[in-house]
Amino acid sequence: MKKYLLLIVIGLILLASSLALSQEDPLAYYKQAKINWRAFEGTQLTIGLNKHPFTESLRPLLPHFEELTGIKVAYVILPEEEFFEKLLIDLSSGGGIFDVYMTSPMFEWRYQYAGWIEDLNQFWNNPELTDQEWYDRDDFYEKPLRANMWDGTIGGGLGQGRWNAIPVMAEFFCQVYREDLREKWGLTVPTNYPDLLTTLTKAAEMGKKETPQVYGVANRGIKSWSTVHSGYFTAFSTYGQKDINPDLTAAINTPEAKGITQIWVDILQKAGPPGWPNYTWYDAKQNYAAGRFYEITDCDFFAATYENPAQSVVAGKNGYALPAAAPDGNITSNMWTWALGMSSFSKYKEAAWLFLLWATAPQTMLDGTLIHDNFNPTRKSVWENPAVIEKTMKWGTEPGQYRKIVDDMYAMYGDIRWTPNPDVTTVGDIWAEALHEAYEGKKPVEQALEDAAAKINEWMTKWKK
Amino acid sequence: MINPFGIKESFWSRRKAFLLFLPAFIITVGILVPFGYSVVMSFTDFNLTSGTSNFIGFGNYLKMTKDSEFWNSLKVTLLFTLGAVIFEVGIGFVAAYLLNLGLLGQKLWRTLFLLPVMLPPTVAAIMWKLMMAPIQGVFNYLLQLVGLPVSEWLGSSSTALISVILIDAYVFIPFVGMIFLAGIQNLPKEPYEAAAVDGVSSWFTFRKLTIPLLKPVILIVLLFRIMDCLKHFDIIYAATKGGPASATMTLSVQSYYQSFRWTNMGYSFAHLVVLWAIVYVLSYLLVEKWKKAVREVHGG
Repeated sequence: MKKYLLLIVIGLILLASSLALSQEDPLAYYKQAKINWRAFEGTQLTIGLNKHPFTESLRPLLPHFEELTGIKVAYVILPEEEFFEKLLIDLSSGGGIFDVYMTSPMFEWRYQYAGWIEDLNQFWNNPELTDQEWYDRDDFYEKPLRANMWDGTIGGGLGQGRWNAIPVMAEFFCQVYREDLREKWGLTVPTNYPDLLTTLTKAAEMGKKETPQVYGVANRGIKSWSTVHSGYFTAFSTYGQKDINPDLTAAINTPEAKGITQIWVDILQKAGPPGWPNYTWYDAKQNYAAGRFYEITDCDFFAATYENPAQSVVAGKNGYALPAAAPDGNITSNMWTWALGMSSFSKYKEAAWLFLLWATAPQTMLDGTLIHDNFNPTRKSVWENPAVIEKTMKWGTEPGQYRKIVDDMYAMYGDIRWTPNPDVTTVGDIWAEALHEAYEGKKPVEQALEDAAAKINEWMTKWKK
Repeated sequence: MINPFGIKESFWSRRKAFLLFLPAFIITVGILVPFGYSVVMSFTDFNLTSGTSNFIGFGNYLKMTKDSEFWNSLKVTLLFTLGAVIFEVGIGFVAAYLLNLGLLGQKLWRTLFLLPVMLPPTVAAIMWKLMMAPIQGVFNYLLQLVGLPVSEWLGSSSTALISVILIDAYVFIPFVGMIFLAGIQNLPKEPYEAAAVDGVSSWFTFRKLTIPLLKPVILIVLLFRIMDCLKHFDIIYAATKGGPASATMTLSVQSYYQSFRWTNMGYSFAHLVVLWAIVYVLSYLLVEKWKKAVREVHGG
């Protein structure tokens, strides 16, 4: 009996040992690369991060990078507007606080022109620093990858020339609505903008009878380019409109532009959140997740929050639909992609490059997406990973509804709609003020857009050859 | 003889005046150099993005005279200053008067009254922004509870300016109140005793004794608050970013947009120089009035 007991104990010890040995080393994947990860051991990098779901997905993984490389990582996290302003101060002063920072094409155009962002091609093409085969750059979706490349041509040149940053997530703008309320109130999913106005107005009226009140549509509204960027620019470009003409004059005051802007302002006035001009995307997302809105016409990737019962009271109750179409059937969406770029003032550029490689590697992005909800991933292998498919397949009124929208956005509808120029965020700020003036009734839509166009023209003068 | 610094007295004596003056000199230079630099840069087209920095004379100032945004910012700055100062001085004075009455639990009231001034203004702005949120904010919840109409607070042009004035008042009324309280507690007793003997009304005493005797204190409070409100930035930017539209776009916020959002530094400096000139002129006038008031109260 004792002998059997001893055998069982020894067996259990051996089993435990073998299990421990077979536990996958979290760094094994990275060690496959022909990269000397320890080359800059002892360096400290400072990363500038926006308060964003991507940031929350990256933070828990940072110890892996530190263990892999011996490089210490410090980071600063700020809300979006404050983050960009702090970053601008650091870059314009040449302070070099940040070695790596979160960025996006709209900002890179200014940074590139001013000489504040490093061209990543030099590191990519250095075999001492990069194992191109292991990294597999072709795994990235083309749109977010090329959006972070620019040859410096004001008014064009996107996807060519310098490689400014590596995309870590992409977002598009679609309709997210409460399926339970849609059925209850007898509404349909709008397929064009006049219908969207009618539906959301009705939803706002029906919502008044609910306790607590349910509002019509959530959408960001603060005095910033970002207000223009989301649902509004999606509608605007769907109607075939542009921000800037090829001759670098404002294009926001065409009759068609005024028409769709009027519809958008009507939607906000009749069904939007009270106090819309002070509404941030944080407000829009949280209040929709709290069940206070029928629909939200903002980022698609907020779905990860909406469908998480720990963060949302509307999990499992949402429908996802493409943006409404123009009269000619055209559908487009604007695209935003958060990316990681390197400061030209960094004293540790090679170490910063290793961080960029690690942070955007397939395994890191998979862990960030699967475990920590970084959506939408910019690598095909991550989006098509069976576990990610299983996780996202349930989002929507029917299996795969959300996934199909993201697939269609990558394939057909989504792209950067802004015209490349260093002052694009200034153009956006001016434009946002026009939306405020129209929404507040201070000026008719036509006048607000004409006045904004005049200001934009004045601003763009210096870029004309 | 050796002085406490271990330097021979003869050497020390010759340089004592210079050494005593040195800290003030360093501070003055430290203030004047950046200020001078700002003035110089206001005559350029300095832009961080395009990298230009050409001398353009009074170009920025001429542009401002035709810029409707500048005139709007000036108007908003003056309205904000007027509203905030009236509010803060009025309520601060009443609060000081009440705190001087020796009410039950006076020490506790004074402590509670001082709490807001300990908050960083930005924190106060964010706190109030949350309370003023139209949907989930506690203010609208309370208004609904008592059957009053709700407000959009910071989210509407018609209420945003008064909302930021309220936040500013919340932070600075204690400061104003404490200065008034110190002034009230230092009032001479004799005139009041004489007034009591003559049997004059409290209102008469207040108008003819308290206000004239407190005039120097009132002017000091006005000086501090007017200067501060004219330059005001943090609360407004944290609460509204100058919006909706340009309803709360003061000169400071406009200058911030021009510089740290749009990299148009030369034009931004021109805004700040104009703002400095306004603050300087008003401060000078108030200081002169204060000197006169001090002479009236204390003689001389």
